[in-house]
Parts: sequence; C-alpha cells; structure tokens
Amino acid sequence: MPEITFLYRMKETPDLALNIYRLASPAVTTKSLYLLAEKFGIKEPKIQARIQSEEKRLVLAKDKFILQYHRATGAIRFFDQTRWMIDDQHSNIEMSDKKAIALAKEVITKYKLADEAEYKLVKVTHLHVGSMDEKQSQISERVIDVGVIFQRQLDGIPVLGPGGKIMVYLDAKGELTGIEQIWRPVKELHAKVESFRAPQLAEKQMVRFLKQRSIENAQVEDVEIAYFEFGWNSKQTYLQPAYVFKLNIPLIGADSFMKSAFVVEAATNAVGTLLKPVKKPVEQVPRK
Amino acid sequence: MTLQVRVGAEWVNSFHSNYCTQNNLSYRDDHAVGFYNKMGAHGHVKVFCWGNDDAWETDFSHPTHGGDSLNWTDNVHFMFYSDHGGNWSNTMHIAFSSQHRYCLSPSTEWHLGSKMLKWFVMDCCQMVLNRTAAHIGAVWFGPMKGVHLIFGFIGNGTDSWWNDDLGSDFGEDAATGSRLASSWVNHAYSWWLDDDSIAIAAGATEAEAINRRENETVNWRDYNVSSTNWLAWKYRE
Repeated sequence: MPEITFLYRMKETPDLALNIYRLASPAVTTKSLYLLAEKFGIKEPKIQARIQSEEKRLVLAKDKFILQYHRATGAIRFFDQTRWMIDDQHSNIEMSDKKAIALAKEVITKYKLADEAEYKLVKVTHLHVGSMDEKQSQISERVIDVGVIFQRQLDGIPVLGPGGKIMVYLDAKGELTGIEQIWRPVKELHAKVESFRAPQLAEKQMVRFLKQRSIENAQVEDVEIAYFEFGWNSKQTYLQPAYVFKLNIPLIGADSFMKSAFVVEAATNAVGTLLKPVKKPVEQVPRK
Repeated sequence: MTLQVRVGAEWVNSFHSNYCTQNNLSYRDDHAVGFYNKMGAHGHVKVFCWGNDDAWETDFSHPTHGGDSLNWTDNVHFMFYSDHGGNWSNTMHIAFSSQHRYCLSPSTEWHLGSKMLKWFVMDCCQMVLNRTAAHIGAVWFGPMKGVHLIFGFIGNGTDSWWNDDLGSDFGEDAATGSRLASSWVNHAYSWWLDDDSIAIAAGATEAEAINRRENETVNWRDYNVSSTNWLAWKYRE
C-alpha cells in the first residue's frame, strides 16, 4: 500500500449548485481561421497570408504575425514573432502589476475574448533574462515581458487544468506581443449535478491510482473542487466538476520531489471519466 | 526546411525495490518518446531512445570519468532526458533504474558538447534550484563544453497526464525551426502545475550567448560554441 501523507484533506462533501455542460465543437477550418485573423486585426488574410496545415493546428502567418488555431480545441495562440518573448537588448519592465492587469483586461475586451464576469486574475508572470561571464564579474539581469494569466470561472468556481485560461503578453511599453487562450465554448447545459461523490471516495481512487503505478510514497499537498478543462490538443466533450489533487512524489535520498496531479470526476451523475487508463508498459528489447 | 539533426532520448518510469530505488513515475516515456517521434516525423534522424533499465548512467558521463557519453548522448545533436532529477552542492544529478555502474549521474562527470551535442533537455526536477546568477553559473559553467543550449526547470517539475504532450509540443517547434529557448520556456511553463521553465545558452562572448538564447534554431547546428565564457538564460516565473 502506498504511504500517503496528507497536508490537506477535504472532509465535507461539497454543497454547490454546479452543472455538467456539453461543449461546442471547435469547427477549426481555413474559413474560421480567416475570420479569427480579421478579429485580431490582420488585414486581407485571404489574399496575403500564408497558411500551414499541421497535424494538430492550422497556422496563419502574415508579416510579423503568427496565428495558431488548434484543431481539437479551438485554442489560439496569436503573437508578433519579432517581439513575443524576444529580448530587445535594453528593455526592463518597470510596470506595476496593477497597470499590467488593466492593460491585459483591455486586450481581452478589445478582441472580445471573454466577458469580465467569466474570468479572474490568477497570476502575473514575468519573463526574465540574464547573462554572466565565467568569473561572475559581469552580471546583467532584466525583466523583458509581463504575462498576465486569467482563469476561467463558471458557476462561481474556477476552471482548473491546462485549459480554461487566457494569457496576455505585454512588452515593457505595455504593448501587446501575444495572446494564448484555451477556452472551449459551452454549447448547452447537459445536466445539473445531482449530488457529489464523497471526497473520501476520490481519495481512495487516488490511492489506487498510485498503487497501480507502484508509487511507494506521496504527499497530497492540496485538493479542491473545480471544473476541469484539458489542454491545447485534447478533445473534450463535457465540462464537469472534478476533484483536483496536487501531489508530490519524492526523489529518495534527496531534497527533491516530482510534482503530479490526480483528477477525478466529482458528480454522482458524471459523464464518462477524467481518469486515464493505466498504460501498458513500454516493451523494449533488452539493451546489450 | 531545417538542417537535419541527430536525436537521442532516454527516460525512466519504473525503478526497482532492491537497488536504484526511487518512486516510480508514469509519463516520462510520453515526454521523451513524444519528442523523439515528433523530431523523426519531420525528417530528423532517430538514433536511440532508451527507456527504464535500458537508460544508463554511462551514456551521460564522459570517458575521463569512466563513462561512454561520446558514443551516446554526445553522439547526437539533440538529447532529451526525462526522469527524476535533483540538484545539491551545485551539482545536477539524474536518476537511473539500472545500476549499469551507478544509480545517479552527476553533472560533474558531464562534458556536454565535447563531441557533437548541441541541445540537451533535462525534463526532470531541479536543473537549477533557484534563479540567482551565482547558482546558475556554479552548476552549469563546468559541464557545458560546447553544448549550445540546455533546457529544464527551476525547482521541481511535474509528472502528470496533464502535461504529457510537453515533449511532442517542444519537438514540433524544434523540428520545424522555431526559436528553441523561447519555445521551451513557453511550453514548459505552467502556472497551474507551478512549473517554472528555464533555458540557458552558452557563448564565447556575451553577445553570442544572448544571440543563441534569443534566436537559435536547429539550423544553428554547425555554428559551434568555441568556448563557454558566457552564459545567457531566460526563464518565466
């Protein structure tokens, strides 16, 4: 049996009015890509832009702008390839977080990415650059962009996971350099959550998950209830509440641990499962 | 069209209870094999992809330390390693399930790039422990002996289904000529998993190291680092 240490446990079964939503199909086509490009201010994309069809996404390039449109999700990454995450060799961000948040919200409003009631600020990040000679006599460090992350909210709780976010990138002048958005539109209400499974049941599933993988010990750092949205390239049909456990898996003999997450559906009338089946071990020819 | 590069990958999910004991991991193959296959799908040369007990510590250690790196990790241009890692005494250590010689490989035994290696991904914990220049320099000036760029995490990384496409996403960008450092920092950063990503470039001059950090793609394969006099890094947090 794995040895589990709990830093936090959810003791009470949630008493929340939540729902299970059916998500809209992304419908990523060249036509919808052109419309998206026009929304971001790219003029005459049909005439002058270059389109690249990749396995997971459509990519439109025009002048300095790149627009990536992910097939499975409708997620977008739009950026100025001459400025996004690029060091101009002199800028150093002095902008306050408050100012950055306000500017990022203006971007969301301008491009109609989401209504303000649908998201909350989650983090203001910074891209740092540094350089140093071997003698450590010359060290230079600057901050060259600010990335403001907003988290999707639904029915008063967060949407966790790699999806359900908008990230707005700004340069030192506060000008937009890029946008990322993973945000699957809701098509319709599928069902109201009838009741929630007890968090203790979810804990048992987590322990079983660790046992199946022969993980001997782990630490549960946190657990919360949230809607859970997948990442850039994963198909998702329903958006539903989940128990989200944050785990630490220690490196034995050292002060280090690998982080992990265990996610399991929370509603008694959940649709399908958020659990990934145990993988078949990769067979390899023994190396000589 | 990009220059063709040789690619290697190693990963460990499963350890043993009686030697080289560690907690098992679950998705390291997804990361490493994802990168390896994506590079191959775009025409780059798949040289080796060793997993679990087939991943050996000697593949990373230089012959001056009894290792065989010149026939493996330093016999490819792009190397992707995915497993447990730890950093103590300003030395990076990576873990192995097979006690081919030792269970850990310390960065003090690495001469990265002394033969062919240009880019090295450490998809594990603690490529650096923190963001201070003194620590970054103390860990990485020594092992970087011609390698152009290294990629990893500040502090701990994540083993989860929810970031298991990191290798293939970075591989897609790398294979098709995207700027490497920015691509890694962007794909590997995760606010919700609390992953802080970092890329470190080497150069004979400050300008060269910065140029590599900002602009290097796989097309820079033959633009060698003549001497690692400078490091230039980029991270998001």
